[in-house]
Amino acid sequence: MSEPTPSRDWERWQALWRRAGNAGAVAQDAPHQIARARRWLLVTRLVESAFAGAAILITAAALRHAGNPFEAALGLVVGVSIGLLWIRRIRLRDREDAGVADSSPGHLAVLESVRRQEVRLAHFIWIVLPLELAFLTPWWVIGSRVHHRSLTDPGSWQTVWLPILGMLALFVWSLRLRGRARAELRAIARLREQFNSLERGG
Amino acid sequence: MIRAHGDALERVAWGYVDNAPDREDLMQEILMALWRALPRFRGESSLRTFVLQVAHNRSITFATRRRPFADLPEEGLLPDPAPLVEERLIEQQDRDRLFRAIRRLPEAQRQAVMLHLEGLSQREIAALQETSEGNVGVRLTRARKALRALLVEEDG
Repeated sequence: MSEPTPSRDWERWQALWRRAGNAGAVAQDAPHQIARARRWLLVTRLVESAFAGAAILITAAALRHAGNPFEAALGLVVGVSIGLLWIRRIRLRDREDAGVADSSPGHLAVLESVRRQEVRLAHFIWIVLPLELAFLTPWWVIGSRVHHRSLTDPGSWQTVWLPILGMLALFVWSLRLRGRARAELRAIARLREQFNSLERGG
Repeated sequence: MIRAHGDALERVAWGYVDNAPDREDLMQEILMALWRALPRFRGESSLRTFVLQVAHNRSITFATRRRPFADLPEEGLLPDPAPLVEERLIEQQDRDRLFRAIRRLPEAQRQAVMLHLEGLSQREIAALQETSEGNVGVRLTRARKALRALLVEEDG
């Protein structure tokens, strides 16, 4: 039996391919899927905004009690840095969304750039967190002394433990962000190689 | 738009994932990406090309962060709306084999094949892959040979 010609192969596969899928079912399900995705996006943004807002508020509260100009400057740097982290995160997400309508190699280039910046974002968090800790520690120590608060008082929960938990959560999140971004960078490099390697046999 | 291209979107999703939960997640991401990208559509290509472009790019993003394909992909992933008489069953198995083989192609070839099967011209595929028409031709020729070998391997 002779081997089928290329056009016969494509015709056969095209016939199989095009009979798959159900546009009606997809169209019926689409509004629910989009609504679910939008809800999820909204919740994510709300959580991130609440987190950043709370961090800035706590820093501002501590800033009001800064004991000297150095502390005040440190608090200002920390507060601005938290704001920058938040804005950077939003802009990276928007940039990734905008790149989805590019050509595939263009989209991969955008993805690579965004993931690299996410790694940098994680590193920046690792700089901001110790600064925040250095800034808040005197406020915690002096505040507890002045207000005669033990570490288990409700006031301590609000001003000491909650910020510490927030910082821990941010640290864990930054670790995950960095790990995921680095793993994706490896996958993106592999895919870019495939798109670029035609002349070499891709 | 989804009524007109929903079946193609579903095929794109199955070209990148091999199980129903991943397919559900990917479809949601594709639909959301389209919903957000549509205002940026300027008519530089056909709507179908734009839709496929967004779907493929979102699938690529999804593929960069998902686990590798399972060893034993599910059968009957794309049910045919027609009744499943014996001929239909055989056809469905052939289709599943074809999808499995396509998923095993390198990314650039896989995308070229899927777009070719959707009926896009080599020029449209070249624009989407930022390469020349000649390169797309080479990619498709190599992909056809690879697909034949993979399908024979599956039959064996």
